[in-house]
Amino acid sequence: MKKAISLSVLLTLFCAGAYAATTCIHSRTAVFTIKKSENAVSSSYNNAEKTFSLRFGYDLVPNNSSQRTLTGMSTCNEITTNTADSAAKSGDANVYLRASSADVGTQCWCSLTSPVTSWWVYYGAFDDEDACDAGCTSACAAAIKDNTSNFRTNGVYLAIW
Amino acid sequence: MKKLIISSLIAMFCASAGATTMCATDDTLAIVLDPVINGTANSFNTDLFEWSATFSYGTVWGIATCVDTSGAPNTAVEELRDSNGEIATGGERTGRYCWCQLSHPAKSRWVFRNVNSSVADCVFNCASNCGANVRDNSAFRAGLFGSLGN
Repeated sequence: MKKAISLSVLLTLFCAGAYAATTCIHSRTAVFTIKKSENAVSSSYNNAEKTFSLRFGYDLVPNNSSQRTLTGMSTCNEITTNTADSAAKSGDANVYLRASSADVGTQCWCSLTSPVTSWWVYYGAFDDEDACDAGCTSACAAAIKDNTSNFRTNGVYLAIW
Repeated sequence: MKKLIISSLIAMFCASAGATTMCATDDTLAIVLDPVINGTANSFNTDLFEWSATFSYGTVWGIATCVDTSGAPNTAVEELRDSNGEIATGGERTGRYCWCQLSHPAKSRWVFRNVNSSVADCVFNCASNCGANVRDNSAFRAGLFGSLGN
């Protein structure tokens, strides 16, 4: 009996956050879970639409295998600053940026659009507008898929929540 | 041995409780939106048709629109169109009916908020109405947070 109570208390404490690295989420909440360290298993992009998608090997919504894809979009403009208005480094977010795929420029930005959304995250500069137009979307997809220079874990994912 | 048993039990607990509870670790980014908990603050930008609401677990942002399509209170629709038949993207000024959409950290469907006496009233009030109701109205939050995903 004593052991059963101890175990119950232990589990309660565990899920109450006593274990610093763990939080528990109840069913009444809407939840998306993203495994930060897991690379996407595949990616694709549509340069004409400036959209990309990333297929993961785990459920973004627990126990819902139909939710394994993150989609996003890219844009090229001439904005080179992050939220603090200092020069943006790759992976920096700009929460005020209202970019669109119709923008033109050499600076490549990436964002997630579904099912979770992110702020615009700076990818980097291309040599000219045509190069950015041709390469930004695929660059976003590849950098997020493979976590190039921690672009996914320290950039895009930090710009979600 | 005891440690092994306890570890196994904890692992089983977290793995099997999927229907009601899941446990997130340091490697998991959990986006949690709870319709039951009221917010602590809200803000809006009338001109940009934008709003936000802050909760104990984070801040959510969204957009608003005024179209001439009515809806059921707190209920989401798969697609919303303006009076020209174009898909609503936010910031429309074509009707008296105020709709709200969550845009960050996840995108929801459009959820009907209320009807206004005129288009001008809707334009003036819609964003603030969205933010205030996301903050204080659990039924409205349920409509919004319950319509996320692909």
